[in-house]
Amino acid sequence: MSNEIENGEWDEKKVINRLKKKEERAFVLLVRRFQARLFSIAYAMTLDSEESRDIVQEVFLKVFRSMDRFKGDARLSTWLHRITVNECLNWRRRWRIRRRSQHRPLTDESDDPAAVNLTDKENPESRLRVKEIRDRYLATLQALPEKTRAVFILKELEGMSYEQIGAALGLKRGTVASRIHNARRKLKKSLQDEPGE
Amino acid sequence: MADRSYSCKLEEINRFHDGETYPAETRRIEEHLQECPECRQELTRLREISGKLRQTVKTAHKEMDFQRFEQQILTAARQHTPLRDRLKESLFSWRLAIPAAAAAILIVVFINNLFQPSLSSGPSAIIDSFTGQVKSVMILETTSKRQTVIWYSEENKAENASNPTRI
Repeated sequence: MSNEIENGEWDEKKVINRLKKKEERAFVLLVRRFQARLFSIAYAMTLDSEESRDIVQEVFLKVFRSMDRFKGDARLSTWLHRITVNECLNWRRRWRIRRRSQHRPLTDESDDPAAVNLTDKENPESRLRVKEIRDRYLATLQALPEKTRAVFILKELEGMSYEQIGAALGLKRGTVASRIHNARRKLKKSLQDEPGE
Repeated sequence: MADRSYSCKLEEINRFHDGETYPAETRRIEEHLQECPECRQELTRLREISGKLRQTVKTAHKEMDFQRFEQQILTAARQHTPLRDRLKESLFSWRLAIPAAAAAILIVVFINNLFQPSLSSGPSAIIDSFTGQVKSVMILETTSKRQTVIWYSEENKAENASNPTRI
């Protein structure tokens, strides 16, 4: 058995081979390396911690179950990103169905961990303003078309190139560039459209 | 000298912000930024947009216990035992299904022939028949083909007493 795997060092080819043999140690390495990143993507897509955990867990289980189908023609991270985005898009479709039956506020601060942490030094007016800006930003983020949002998130959180994003989502480089531009244009408007400006 | 004829193209500023400009473009934009406060402000806004998203996610991370989450994932994955997965996969593999089906059919046919009693072949044809009283009857069966032979003596026909009719 490879000492590198045992020591927790990441060698993608070796990890992939061991994952195909369903070796637990390789799976642990995979989870440790990607769980935070995939959670970030899922959270940015859903703005819901619990759903994000479910999504990420499902992503890892899918990878574990279907590792033998991974051809190795792309990086493991590209594959993981693609599965995560698809799971998030599926979640959004299910969420829309649930939303019809039960209203779920987007920015309920009582259970939203993305709530702004303000110090006691902030006066109430500032707190309110900051909260309004944040709420507008998040609402605009959630209102972005699904793939535009996914492109934007992969760029901002993963620092992927346009080409890498295109490979992950099956888009042309030019399409990635224009979608990022459109996302930022809308989000910029949400930050600029403030009272008094 | 800064290029004052360069028109502010927000799409290019976007790509510059993302590190997606060609070297010549990069140099030109860098020179332009030194002279254009609007484009500098645009770049600041782009960084603010990025920052807001990262801050949102960072706050969510603080609420997460990733060690516990890792265990949760491992527990869920362990429920899919490799042996069960492999067995399931091999049974439903199309490469095994066809030969397995052929073997099963052969086994069924073999067992069927092994335990099925041999069908007795009946007489191939009725040679003769009669209506009358029968004096004596003998029913025989041939050993090889298991054909039934009925010997009888017709009482009313005295000349046939020694000439039994074979059916």
